[in-house]
Amino acid sequence: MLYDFANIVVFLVLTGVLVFGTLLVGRLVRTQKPTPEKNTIYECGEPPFGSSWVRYNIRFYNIALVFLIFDVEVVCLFPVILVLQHFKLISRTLMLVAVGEVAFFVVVLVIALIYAWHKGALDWLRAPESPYSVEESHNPE
Amino acid sequence: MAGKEIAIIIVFYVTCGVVVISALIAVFARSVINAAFALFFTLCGMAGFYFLLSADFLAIVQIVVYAGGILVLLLFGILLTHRTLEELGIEKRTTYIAGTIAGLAFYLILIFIIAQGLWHQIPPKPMAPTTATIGRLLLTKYLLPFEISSVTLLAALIGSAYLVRRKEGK
Amino acid sequence: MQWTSGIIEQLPRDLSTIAPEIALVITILALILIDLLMRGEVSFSISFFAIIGVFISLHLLFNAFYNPAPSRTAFWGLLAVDKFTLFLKLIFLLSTFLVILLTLQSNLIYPYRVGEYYTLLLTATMAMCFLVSARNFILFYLALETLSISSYVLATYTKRDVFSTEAGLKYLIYGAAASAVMLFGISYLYGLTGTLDITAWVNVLTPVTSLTVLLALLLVFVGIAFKISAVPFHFWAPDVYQGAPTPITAYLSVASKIAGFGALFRVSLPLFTDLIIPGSKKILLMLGPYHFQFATFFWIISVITMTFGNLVALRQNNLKRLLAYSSIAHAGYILMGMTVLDAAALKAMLFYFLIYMFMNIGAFYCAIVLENKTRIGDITHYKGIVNEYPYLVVGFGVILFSLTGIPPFGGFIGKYLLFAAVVNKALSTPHAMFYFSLAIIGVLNSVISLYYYVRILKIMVLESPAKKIGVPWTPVESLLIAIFVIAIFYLFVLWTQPYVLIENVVKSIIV
Repeated sequence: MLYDFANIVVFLVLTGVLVFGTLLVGRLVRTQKPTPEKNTIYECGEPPFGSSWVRYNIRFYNIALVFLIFDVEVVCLFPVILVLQHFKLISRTLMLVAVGEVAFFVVVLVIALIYAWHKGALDWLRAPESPYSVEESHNPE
Repeated sequence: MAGKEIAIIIVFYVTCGVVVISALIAVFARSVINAAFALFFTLCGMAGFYFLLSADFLAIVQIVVYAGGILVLLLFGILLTHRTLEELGIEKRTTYIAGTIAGLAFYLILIFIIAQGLWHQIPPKPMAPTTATIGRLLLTKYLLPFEISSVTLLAALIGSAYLVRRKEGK
Repeated sequence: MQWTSGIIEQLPRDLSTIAPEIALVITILALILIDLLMRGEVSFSISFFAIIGVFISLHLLFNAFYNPAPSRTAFWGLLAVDKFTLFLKLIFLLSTFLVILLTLQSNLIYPYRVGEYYTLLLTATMAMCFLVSARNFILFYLALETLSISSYVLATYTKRDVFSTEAGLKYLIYGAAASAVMLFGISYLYGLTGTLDITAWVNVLTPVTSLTVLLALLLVFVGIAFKISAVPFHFWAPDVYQGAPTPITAYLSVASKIAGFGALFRVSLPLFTDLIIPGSKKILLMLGPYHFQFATFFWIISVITMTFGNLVALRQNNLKRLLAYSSIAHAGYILMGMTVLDAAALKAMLFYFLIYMFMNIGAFYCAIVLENKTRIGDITHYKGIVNEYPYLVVGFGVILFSLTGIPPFGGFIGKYLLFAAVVNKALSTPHAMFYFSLAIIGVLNSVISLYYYVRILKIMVLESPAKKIGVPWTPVESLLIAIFVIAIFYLFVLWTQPYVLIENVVKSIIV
């Protein structure tokens, strides 16, 4: 197994060298003559105005939150599913018991999914009565 | 084989360097986005430590959950609240000095105490995949924490979904 | 495959030992489904089913109490099944029921949806039940974290109030830091002992490794001290207690604190000399030279906590903040029992938990009634309330006198038992002044606390009212105040069953 990890390390090192190496060489070889015009932000030819920070939709945060919970669930399920087949070899009731244990775990998280779905944590479109998302504030009320 | 030992030692120290330097950047950086990306490298460095300890499943969990979930959540949180973070005050110099002294003192005490403790030794074993062992333990000895963790996740989802919800309904 | 050998036989038996928690989990899932499936105003159904769930859990708990089977471990040594944990679970379920009653009475909660509230409340209760029976650090930490995240969300439940969100945020940040330090200590203990058993640290306490083990235990104690709000780690308590909705403040100050003490007992049970536990002679030999160090540590923490809590409470004007500092002081009194570290002190502490639950939840119920009627939390605005709400003032007076420890009430009995344990230990060891000084400081602190408790009564009774409040008094409020007064006055003074119960409980502890 050590050699498998060594493969990964070599891969990472090569990636780093290639990416950062080319950027470094470019940085060293380039001429650097900044003028005020060259330093402005590119906005398809128009002069830029306003801050570059746009108002963010809180739905990204909701989705990331729900994703994280179910991500942890998947990670917990991976080793358990791997081992279920070994239980079948010992006895049938043992396999049923093991499947029952996993089923409880999954059922609790299915209820969590139903809750998140019904409460609108997974909705992407806004409710139709507000036509323009001007009043999207940063802090959730 | 001496070559294998030397390679492992080199990888270990490089990982240490990655973790410590990116942790320092994460703590001292001026811009919050720089700090978040340095945190990403810290978490991946921790995954590297887990690989070195033959805990392959735990390393993948670290990358998938921590770097791929929690850090993304952190970045979204930063992007949502950037206005308030721009006015982060610069602390007075006394705070920096007091904090550094306290941190260094705690660190030296820990080093001293670790060095003289008799740590529990286990006989060295060759590296082996750990996923199957963890799976078997989760279904037998640690069954109760496995089931309780599902209720914990449920509570975390309900709590956070309640807190981020807008005003529709109540 | 050695772990799979006994599953099919052991699993039904082990599941029956956690029957109350299973009832709570089924209630939690049922509450979520009810909240989702029912249309319209669901808060009545949800509180109804929550109360039913708590009662089913209590019924299963009482069944377990009358079970004559000896104490044992369950789930491959992860869980301790003895009457000690059953007693603590009884306290948690009773306080959950009382907090549900407080929630139904409070005006703060009903503008918000209550589905998530009761779900998180029951999740916290379930987590506390697992925390006090954990014999393995994984279960211990998982239960502690489940309790903590439910509490963080509950503390910030009234989202639109800025104090509430501030309370939740402070609780979260402080709690996360304390948990991280505790996890660090647990990792050290694992590194030293090689197992995750909670009491395995006793085996490695040799003179060579003692410093490391004590440091690791200190780090673990940081996390526990956060939960019980002992003094170097109490900074979250006043702001969180003041900002959180008052039923949750009651819950945190009683159930969460007692759960923290339960966790402390689980980790430190080998320290209690003259508890009959298997292998105790060997444990006593190993711990002998260090016993006094532990006692000194708890002496310092107890004295600082009591004194700080009482002195700062003298200057508080907000009722919830004053009760927060008073509950910090009560944690200090309970820690006096941890200084003594024997079976009599353990019995005194368990009795104090029971009476403290009724006193503190009663005090917060009076705070809820006052804030429902007057919408102000400041004591100086409660001038002369005795003219309008006499029953409230009488009930609150009984509760406050009980909190101080004045004779005919239950609080006096609790404090008396604690002081008696301290003095008995003083008379039987060579370090007499050490324990006597603790008792003297405890009595002085009780006298100091008399001032701020009676000051509330003085403002309510002796000063003349500014204007009439006019919010009518309901019979339900009379009933609930009467329940608390009866509990404090009658149950523990005139009824001896709790003492017998606690005797049995302490005899059946397993480590």
